[in-house]
Amino acid sequence: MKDLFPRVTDRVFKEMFLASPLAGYICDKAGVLLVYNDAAVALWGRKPEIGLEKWSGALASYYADGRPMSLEAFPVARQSEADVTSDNEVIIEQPNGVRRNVLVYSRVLLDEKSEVIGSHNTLIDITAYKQQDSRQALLSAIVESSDDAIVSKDLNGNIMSWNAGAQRIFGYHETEIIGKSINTLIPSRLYWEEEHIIQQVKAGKNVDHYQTVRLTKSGHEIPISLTISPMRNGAGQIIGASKIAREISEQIRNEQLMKLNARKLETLYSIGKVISEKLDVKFIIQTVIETTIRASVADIGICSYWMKEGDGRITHSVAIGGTACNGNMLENPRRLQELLQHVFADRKIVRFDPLSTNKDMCTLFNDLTKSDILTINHCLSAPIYSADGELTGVILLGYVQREVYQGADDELIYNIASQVAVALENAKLFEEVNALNLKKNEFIALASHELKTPLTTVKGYLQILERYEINQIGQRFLGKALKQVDRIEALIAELLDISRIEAGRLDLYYETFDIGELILDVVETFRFSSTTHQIIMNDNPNIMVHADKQRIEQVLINLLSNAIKYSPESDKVYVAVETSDAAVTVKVTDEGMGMSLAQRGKIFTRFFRIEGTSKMPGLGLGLYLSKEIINRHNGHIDVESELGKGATFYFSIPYTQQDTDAVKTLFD
Amino acid sequence: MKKIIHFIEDDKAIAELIAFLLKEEEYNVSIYTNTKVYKEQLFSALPHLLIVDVKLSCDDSLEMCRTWKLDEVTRDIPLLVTSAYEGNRTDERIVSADYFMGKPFSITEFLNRVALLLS
Repeated sequence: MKDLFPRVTDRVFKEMFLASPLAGYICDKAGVLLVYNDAAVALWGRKPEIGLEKWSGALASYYADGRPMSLEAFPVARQSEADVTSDNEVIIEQPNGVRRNVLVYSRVLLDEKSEVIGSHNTLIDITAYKQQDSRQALLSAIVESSDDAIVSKDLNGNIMSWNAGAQRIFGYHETEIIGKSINTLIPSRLYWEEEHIIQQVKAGKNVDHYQTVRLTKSGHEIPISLTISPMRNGAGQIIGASKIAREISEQIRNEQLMKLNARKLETLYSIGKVISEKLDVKFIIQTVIETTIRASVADIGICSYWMKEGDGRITHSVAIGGTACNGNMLENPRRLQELLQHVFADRKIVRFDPLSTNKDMCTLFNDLTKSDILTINHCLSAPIYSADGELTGVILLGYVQREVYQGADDELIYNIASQVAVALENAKLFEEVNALNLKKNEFIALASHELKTPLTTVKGYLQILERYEINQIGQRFLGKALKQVDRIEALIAELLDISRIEAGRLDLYYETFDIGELILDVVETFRFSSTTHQIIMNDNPNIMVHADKQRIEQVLINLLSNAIKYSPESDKVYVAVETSDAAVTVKVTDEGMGMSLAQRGKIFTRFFRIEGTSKMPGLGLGLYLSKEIINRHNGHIDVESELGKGATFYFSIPYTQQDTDAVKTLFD
Repeated sequence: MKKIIHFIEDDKAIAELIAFLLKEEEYNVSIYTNTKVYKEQLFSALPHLLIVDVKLSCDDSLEMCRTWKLDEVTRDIPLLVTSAYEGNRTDERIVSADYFMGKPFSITEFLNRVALLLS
């Protein structure tokens, strides 16, 4: 150095100062700028006037926290008073508005006599470093404030960093976990996952939204979603993995809850649908128990229903289902009723857990279960109440496994039981109505038959009287009496027919006959008996049909007598017969009161009477019977009419019947 | 000799009416109120015609009709069944009867039928 140093001249030092990549400038004792280098010009973004500007060449300066800094406060100005260096951080502003972070190093210059003659100043641009620093701070802040656990680990699986989210989710504080193996968080049965993840990371691959289970500090397993990315160093080598774990317990719970609710609704809907369609108790309870077992994942289910009959007896209906059921029927449903009669009190659901606490219930389940394989240990029971609040049935669900049993949804089962109660109530009413209807039909049939016996006697005596020589008045009155007897007879016959139709027992006796001839016979009878109307018939073809002659005659008589009855202002009724390939059609036309469209729609229904005709005799059964008879012949009956313009009633029947069984029963 | 007709009918009014009619026609008529009473005295004298009224599902009279047409002794004696119950017409126990007459019937038709069965 001794050899070299003298050669280093002032010129060399000057050269070094001016060409230095570090911004530098020299001020005199008063702070006036004497000289500066190119790097300083670049940093200031300007060329300050030498000999005029003081302390700093920057347009404006600020403290590191952003407050404006006066020129006198600039470190160079302050430092030059004391004989110390400084590394104060300052922000300087260029004319274009760009701000730079700089460290200011100021050093006093002394002369030979150690007198201060000025200062030598260096500005070090730390902007890039500062920006990096703040980005880091931002990232740290994001990581720290994240709800997700953000953890990094090295390739050996040791935890390197741990944020607040990780602490919240897993429970460990940063100090407890850093340096420990990631396996701390993994249930032992899932260790293989970590190996797989590390393989992926080593291969530079990401693992996205991997749903798995992790252990918390308190030992609970929680469902989480993992996203793992490889971490590289500046040289691009993989040195570990960053791992974002999101707790999805809530999400999974919601999903499960939604699925559960959907299934519940579906169950309730399907039960409601099925049991409202059928009104049969056995069917309802069987459907209900099977659906309930499915919905509540029970191993065995029993639905028992009891109701009081009219005579006070109690009948029990029982349905059993489930995979554990051995096919036996409940032997003593009455015992079950007694067992549970007072169990419910105000409670919706009663749980027998364990079942062994109730000996009777235990026995009951044992009798119904494939006990050699399974033991029902838990039971859940729901009451079925009648409309008047009495216990009228129960649903029992038996479980082998405790977990499944605990998962059973009380509310769902209670709702099912409530629905069942309503459906069973309806079914009961329906059965009652059916029974009453049956009684009604039986009564009509019995009454009609009972009426026939005295009628036979009355008719007989009147006929005997007719054979004696009595005077003209006597004959006239006898005729009238006999006519009324015939009417009673016809009414009784109608009532009987109705009861037969209702009971599905209107029997038809098929024979082959000439319908043309039958029509003529009937028309002749009316021509003979009707004093008010002329019956006009076009021609009289011979048409052989296979049908119930008596019933077809009944229809003809009904149509003709209606035509006469409902056209009191007119004096003509027309009868026409038409034939086609497969059927014969008979039309009866009157010139009477006719009917509206609405009346036409109802004319063939039971007990229907057109308004204003209530004074006319009849039960409103004739057309209903006619329709039934024609339908039974696979035929068709209808009416064409307008109000006030008469009516044409017509029916057609096929020449032959497909099903020529001598006797067909209605509704079979 | 007067033809003998036995008539089983529990309705007194009808029994009286029919008895009157048949006597008018010069028949020898005996009325029995039920099959049990009739069976007890059946073998005292066989009729030329038996008329049985059959009530709703009255097994006794239906059975009586069946055996009447099965028994060698009686099967050739005509059997006329009357009933207010049309349904009885198809009962297999009386399809072998010679005629079925639904109530109420016309007395002319009744007497014609009786005469026909006795001829």
